[in-house]
Amino acid sequence: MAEYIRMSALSPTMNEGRIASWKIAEGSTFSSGDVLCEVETDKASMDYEAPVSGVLLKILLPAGATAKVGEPIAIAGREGEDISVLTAPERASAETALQGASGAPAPQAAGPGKAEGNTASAELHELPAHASPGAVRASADGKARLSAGPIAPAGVPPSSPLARLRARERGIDLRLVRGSGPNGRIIERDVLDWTADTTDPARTAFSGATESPQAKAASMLEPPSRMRSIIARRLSDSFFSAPHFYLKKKIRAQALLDLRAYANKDRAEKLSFNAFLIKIAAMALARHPEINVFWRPDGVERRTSIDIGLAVALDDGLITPAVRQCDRKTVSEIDRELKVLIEKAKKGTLAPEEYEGAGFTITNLGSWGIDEFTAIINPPASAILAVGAIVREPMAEDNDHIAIASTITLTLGCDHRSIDGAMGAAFLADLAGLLEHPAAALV
Amino acid sequence: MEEMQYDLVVIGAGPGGYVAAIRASQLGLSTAVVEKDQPGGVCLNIGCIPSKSLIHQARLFSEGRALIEKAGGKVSLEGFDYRAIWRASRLAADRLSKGVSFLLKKNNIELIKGTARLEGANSVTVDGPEGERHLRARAVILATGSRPRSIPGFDIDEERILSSTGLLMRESLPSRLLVLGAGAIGMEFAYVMHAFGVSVTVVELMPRVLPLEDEESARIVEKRFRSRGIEIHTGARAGGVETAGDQLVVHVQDSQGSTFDIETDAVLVAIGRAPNTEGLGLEALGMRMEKGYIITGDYHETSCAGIYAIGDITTYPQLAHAASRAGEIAAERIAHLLRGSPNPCEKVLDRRFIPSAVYCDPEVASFGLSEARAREEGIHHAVARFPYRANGRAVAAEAPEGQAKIVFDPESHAILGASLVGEGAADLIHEMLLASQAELRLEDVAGLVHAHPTVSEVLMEAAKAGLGCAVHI
Repeated sequence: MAEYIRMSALSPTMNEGRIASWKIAEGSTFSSGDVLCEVETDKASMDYEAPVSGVLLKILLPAGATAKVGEPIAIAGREGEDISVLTAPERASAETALQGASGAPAPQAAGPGKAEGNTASAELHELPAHASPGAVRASADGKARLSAGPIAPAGVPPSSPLARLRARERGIDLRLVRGSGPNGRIIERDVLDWTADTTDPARTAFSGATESPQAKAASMLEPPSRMRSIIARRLSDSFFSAPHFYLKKKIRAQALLDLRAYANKDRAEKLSFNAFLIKIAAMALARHPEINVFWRPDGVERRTSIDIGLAVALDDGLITPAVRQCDRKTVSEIDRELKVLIEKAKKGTLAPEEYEGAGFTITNLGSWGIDEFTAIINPPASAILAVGAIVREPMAEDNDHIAIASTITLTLGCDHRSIDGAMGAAFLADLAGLLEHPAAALV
Repeated sequence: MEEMQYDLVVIGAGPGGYVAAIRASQLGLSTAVVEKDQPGGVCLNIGCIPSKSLIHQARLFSEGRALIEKAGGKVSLEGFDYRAIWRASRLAADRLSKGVSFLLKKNNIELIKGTARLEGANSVTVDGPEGERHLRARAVILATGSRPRSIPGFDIDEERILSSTGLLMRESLPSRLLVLGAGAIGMEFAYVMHAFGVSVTVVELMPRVLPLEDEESARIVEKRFRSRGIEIHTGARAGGVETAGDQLVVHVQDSQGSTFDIETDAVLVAIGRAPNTEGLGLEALGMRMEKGYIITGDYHETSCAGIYAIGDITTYPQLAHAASRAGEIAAERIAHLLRGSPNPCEKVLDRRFIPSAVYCDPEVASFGLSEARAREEGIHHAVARFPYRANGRAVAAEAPEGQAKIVFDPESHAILGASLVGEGAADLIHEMLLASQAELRLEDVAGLVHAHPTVSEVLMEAAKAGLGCAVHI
């Protein structure tokens, strides 16, 4: 029987994909494991391997078009098969199918707490689908037939009602949690462990039997958390595909420090140094729109909004929440937003739209006393600014005397595919000027 | 002398051993089971199964009689012969034991008759009817089970001082029976014997019957037993027994210290079961044990690598189903190590999810956290109850004595434990058990549509009661 081939989540965070190109032509035969098409997400481009063998009867989604995970992209089956049933209004039914497939039933409450319970589970169910590369691989073992049913449905990983409650209480995205229950079902303990990440002696301790050395060695290799896998993949992609070059500039920070001290004089809630950095970087980017760009395989995409991400360190990784339209916001507005975003980042409750799509990133290790450092670009953005500590050091004055000044070393990392050396240099020089003379930002 | 080589040798073909062997064989291990008696162990032959046959017949007998008499009919017991009842219980046991032999054969498991002894972690000697055999095993599972335990002053002769085995194998009824111990076994036999007209007295050392079960459940059972005419002495110690002509005299001391005698024709000693860990050569291997029980760790492996132990010989509850599940875990672990099949999902049997059941009338069943333990240990909890008398089916079936009780976390509504007493309790408990193990919450059970009228509605209503919205009370 003919079957849909659906957009599959090729990475843990993928919720939609764009067909870059079809590798198998309509009417051609393919085998399980062949690359059907190349799929792009906002983060990477990946090969979509056929989960089954058959004939590609119809391409539903042409190259360049985008589909959500779970939506049909093609029809496959035996040669000459009638596919009229499948070509009808399938997008709607695909939607329904996705809904139905997205995990365990929502907890139904008959009493107090009903509304709460339902909302929460609805929320979780609407999360973009993760689906298991495993599922695709499993059905690609050659045994699977087209008639064996559709590809394992994409959706949030299976989880118990109690696990969902715990995740909601703690603001944990279940897609980040590894399930230890039957067939990878996420159980309460997985969610608790994900937050605590401590070894509970009551659970592991024993007693009489000694574990074999092999078992011990195996247990020391902890599989990466989902967050770690995402970091590993995204930063490797960036570091190995984007040709990085770095520009370094030391600035005098006194004017900025004075401005901040003045602004904070009567404030209970102090404006953070990062809020000033973001604001001034936004003003510099406004003058250099060629820096605020995404590198796309088919070209350089200029950003219309100045959205700046700030790298936030977490216990088990990092994330870069983004402040939108920084050029139009005051420092105090940016600071207020930043505090909320950082709080959410630490709790793990950031929504994708709160950390995706920044055209420029700032990472600041000054609080660790790091003089200067280089950073890896946060794709698809093309530049990242690494900010070192404020250092008191001797500097030559205009009159050739030496005086002690507060300095900061900035390192701008650029993707040479979209930014050339002179472009980056011009931007960094302007940015340095604005940071040394913040009042110039008004001009 | 022949020496056979196996991946796995299981010692004991009871509900732990034969299940472990079948699971191992399914996973591709060459497996042998050593059994000195009948396949199926105590459970099938002289335990769970024949006793359930007797309980079933006892219930039909007493209820049928009561119904006819209630409607004005007369029941004549002329020619009634307990032997027919007894034979039916043996038939059930034999049928199921043959079933186990068949299953072993079907799974290509060699059943070796004889008594096994470990010579080392990989070497088993079997002393059987055809002489001595040596088996080489890459792994061993010990599943030798248990036997009735006695107490000082009561030497079991299986004539008049009986163990459960003796009473099950007895073809005739005593006219009076004294049951020592009001645990599951004692209460089940008290129920059966009383139903067939034996005058029964129960003596229990603890202050109540069914000391391991929920207090309220036990109280409901005790009340029912007393109303039927079963004499129960709790908090009482049986000091010894004397023969006085045809009858036995048992000396009992009550909780106040005063003593009295009970005259009887037979005594059932049902105070517990002792592990069969002697003569296996475990001491020579230096296996870690405590009071005769084997201490096991992850995957039910003993302190001797490659030797696993499951069931009544370990510190887990002495229940057939606990042994079976532990056997599966051990077998899956061994297959994982030897064949690379998936490691079992659970490292050990989770004690929170082992149900217990008492099959007298009314039935009792429970699992997980009890209300009493939650209180003693200061575990944050709440309790929801629903009585059988508010359930249509229970009332229609003239079984209004009973209660469903759920112990839950008042914040998360996680189900921490449940205790049921009443019609069908031992079957009904599994809905709560599944809900608890699958981490469902009260809302999930309360919102599940239960067929009406069924006794299972008591669970839905108890869950609703926990949420403050029970309908039928």
